[in-house]
This record gives sequence, structure tokens and C-alpha cells, in this order.
Amino acid sequence: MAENKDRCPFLREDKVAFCRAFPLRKPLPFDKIYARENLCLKGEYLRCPIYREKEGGKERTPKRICPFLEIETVMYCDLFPIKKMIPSSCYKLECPCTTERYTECPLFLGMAKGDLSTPSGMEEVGGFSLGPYIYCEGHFWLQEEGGERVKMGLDDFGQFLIGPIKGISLPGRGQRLTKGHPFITLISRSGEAQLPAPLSGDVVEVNEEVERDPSLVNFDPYGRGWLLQVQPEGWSRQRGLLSGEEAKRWLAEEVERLRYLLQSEIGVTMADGGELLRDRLQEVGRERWDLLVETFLKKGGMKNVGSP
Amino acid sequence: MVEAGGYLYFMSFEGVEGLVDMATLKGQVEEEFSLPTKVVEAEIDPKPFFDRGRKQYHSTMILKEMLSRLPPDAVRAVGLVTFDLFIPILTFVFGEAQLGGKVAIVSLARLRQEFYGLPPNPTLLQRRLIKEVKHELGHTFGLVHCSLRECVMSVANNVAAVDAKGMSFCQSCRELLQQNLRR
Repeated sequence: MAENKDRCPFLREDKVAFCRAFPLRKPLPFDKIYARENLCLKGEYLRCPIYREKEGGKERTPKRICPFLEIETVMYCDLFPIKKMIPSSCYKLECPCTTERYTECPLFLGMAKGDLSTPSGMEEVGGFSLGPYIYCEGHFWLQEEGGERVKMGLDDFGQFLIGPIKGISLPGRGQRLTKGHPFITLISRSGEAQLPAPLSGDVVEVNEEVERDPSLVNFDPYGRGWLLQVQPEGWSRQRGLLSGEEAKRWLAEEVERLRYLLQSEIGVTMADGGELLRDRLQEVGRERWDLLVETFLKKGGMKNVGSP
Repeated sequence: MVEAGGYLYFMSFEGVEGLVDMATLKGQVEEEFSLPTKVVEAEIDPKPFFDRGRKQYHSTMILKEMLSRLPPDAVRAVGLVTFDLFIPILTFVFGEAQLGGKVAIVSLARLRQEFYGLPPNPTLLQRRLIKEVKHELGHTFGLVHCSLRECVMSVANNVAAVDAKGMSFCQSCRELLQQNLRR
């Protein structure tokens, strides 16, 4: 079956049957009704006490099946622990299950992410995940590991700006990083971005899994999408790093600034409402994407690297 | 700059007036922005701005259309609609406004309890609408989002955040608003 982007793949349809004459509506899965044992589905419905009571002894031309038997299409979520069957006519246009917004549903997200890790202590700021990490202004996260090592990755906001990542080029083990100099190249549908290193140090470990599948940076930026482990130089003297409440305020400002920068054709407009759509940034065009990457991800980067 | 003798227009789209108390809304807005208001029926067909894929209406496109149809004596205009609005990068919007411009729009769709499968609550709807109208008008007077949750200019990603924000402006937003109103 072709994928339908406007409808959750876990939304299921079923047919139920119920008796319109019975005082309570008791829908039964249609495929579970056995014609041989069921009066409703054969001419013998005339013997049914409920039918006879409803008809009050009126003589009618017999039909093939009971005229009070109603068959209805219902929908239910295959992921929700309880099967709650809702008549398909009751699904409104704004129901996320029958629009492309099903991708925001936590049940769908849980399934879509599969076994990807969800680190504890995560919270959401303006629709972006923020964890108990140290953040750099260029949207890299850092985590102190044992043995004077620092683990590094692109944060959720950073991966959102880059868009679906198709290719990645990481420095090799033993290579030296210089703060502010390009150290990683990310290729997405929107373009190619060379991002500056948030700190100086030696690369001690490279995430080979991410080199094989760069989309992990998008799907699991703080988990399996980590990039490098670095032995930093002058770690205790690092400046411009953010954590805790300070990081929260900073990210909220970044989200606000991004919304502001995405101007419309009638000048700057500001909106109150939903969250940034994860797959729509590609629509902003190459020029503006370059500007966004420059503005948010190349902070502290050296311009014209390599020029005399 | 607010021209003397001008009006703040409410451009009401189909179905709005049956859902909200326009007299109260007018009163609250006149008091807050010191501008006389007028209510007119919006003569804009929103159908061309409907996105089939999203099943929502493109808010910025409607603002653009409103701009081209502004009455000559309009200093500001707020469109009020019952349908759900979006801008391409956001899942939905309660409203949108030109920053320092003339037009704004507010949707009732997600302010209504019915949207969330709850019984109607006209009082709550009215309160939410007043907040969103003040918020969007604040943008037209040059105010940006405020970090104080109690300020009506704080950003709301969902209806709970609309309920959590206050009915009016914080002191610094109010001062800026007053300055911009006098300019």
C-alpha cells in the first residue's frame, strides 16, 4: 500500500455491526459475527424478540437480513493500549491522526524513533529538546566523560536548522581541532555547511555509526547521533559555555530569533501559536538557509579560513 | 504612527459574530489601545488560502489580502476567523500580525474548547480571544514577544499557555506601547 502522508500509518479501520432496535448500542466487529449462528444476518431475524418488539406485530415484506442491523466503519489507534473504536464520521479534519500532523503524536514518535535512546533529564524549550549538557553558542552540546574527555554532538536546534542530513565528514582520530576553525561538514537537502569547532583539542574517538548513517544526528542528536570525543585543551578556561537555566533562556531566545528571521513577503510578521515544523525549513530557500546557518551555527567561527 | 480620526477595524469573517461578544471585545480593545473601533464583515473569500495538505488556511496570505482591502480610515485592522490558521514553518497559529504594520489576524479555532473535545465555554473563549487580539495588536504597535509569562505579549505554543498568560501588558511592554501609540 502506498504511504499516505496525510494519515497516521497506525490508524486502523474496521467494520462493526450493531442493532438499532436494541436500547444500547453494542458494536461488534463485523468479521466476528458468524452468519450461521446469528439471526440478524438471515431471514430468521423475524424470530428475534427485539425485532418483534420494535415492529409491534406489523407485517412487513421479509428481507434477506434484519433491517435494524447497522454496519459502520470505525477507526482506532493501533498503538494506544486500549482499542477505542470511533466512528469514522466522527474523525474531524483537525484530528492529528487524519492529517499530516500525526507526526507530532507522542505514540507515533515513540514508534518512529524505535529503539533510539531518550536520555533522562530532557526538557523542551520552544519545541526543541534541551538536556543536562553544556551548550556552546554554535549549537553543539558537550558532556564531560571520564579521563578528561569531552563528548560532543550537534544539539536539537542545530540539527533542525541543517535539515535531514544526507552526508557527514568528521575529523579522524588523533586530528587536532582548533576553536573557531571548521571541523565538520554536514550535507543536507538544503545545502552544505562547514561548522567551526566549539573548542580546541585532540580527537580521541569518532562515532563511526554516524558516519555510516548521518540521519542519526537528526533522529537522536543527544544519543546515538553524538559526533566525537575530544581531549580538550584548557577545558577549565573555556568561556561562553551554557548550562541549566542559562542554557534554557539562551535556547528560548534562539527560537524566538529564528521565528523573527523567517520573514514573510509582507515584511516581518510575528505569530503566536504552534511549534516549528521539523521538515519545513527546506522551504526557506538556499540563500536564507545559508544565512540561518551563518547566524546560528557559525558563531565564534573564523571567517575566510585559509585565506592569507 | 496612529493617524488622528482613524479607526481600529475588526474584520469579522463568517461565523465569528455568533461565537463571541463583539461589544465586550471592542470595549476592551478601545480601553487598552485608546482607539475607536468599528466592526465590519470581511469581504474576503478565504478559500484560495486553504491548504489541502494541511487542512488549514495560510494566515500570511489572508493578511496580505486584508492589506489590499483596508478601509481608508483604518489605522489598524484585526481579522477574526473561525478556521484554523498556519504559517509554513509552524504547526498552527492562534494569530499573526505585521510587526509595526497595520494588519493582524486571530483564529478562534484552537481557542474553542470544542477543538479539544470539551464542552463549549463561551466565557473562556472570550477571555482567550481578548488576550490573542491584544497580543497581535501589540505586534502591530512594534512589541515583540515578552519573556514574562504574565504579560499578554508572552508567546503561547498551546492553549494552556494562552490561559496561563495575563489579560494585559507588563509594565515595560505597556510603556513601549504607550510610546508607540503617541508617535
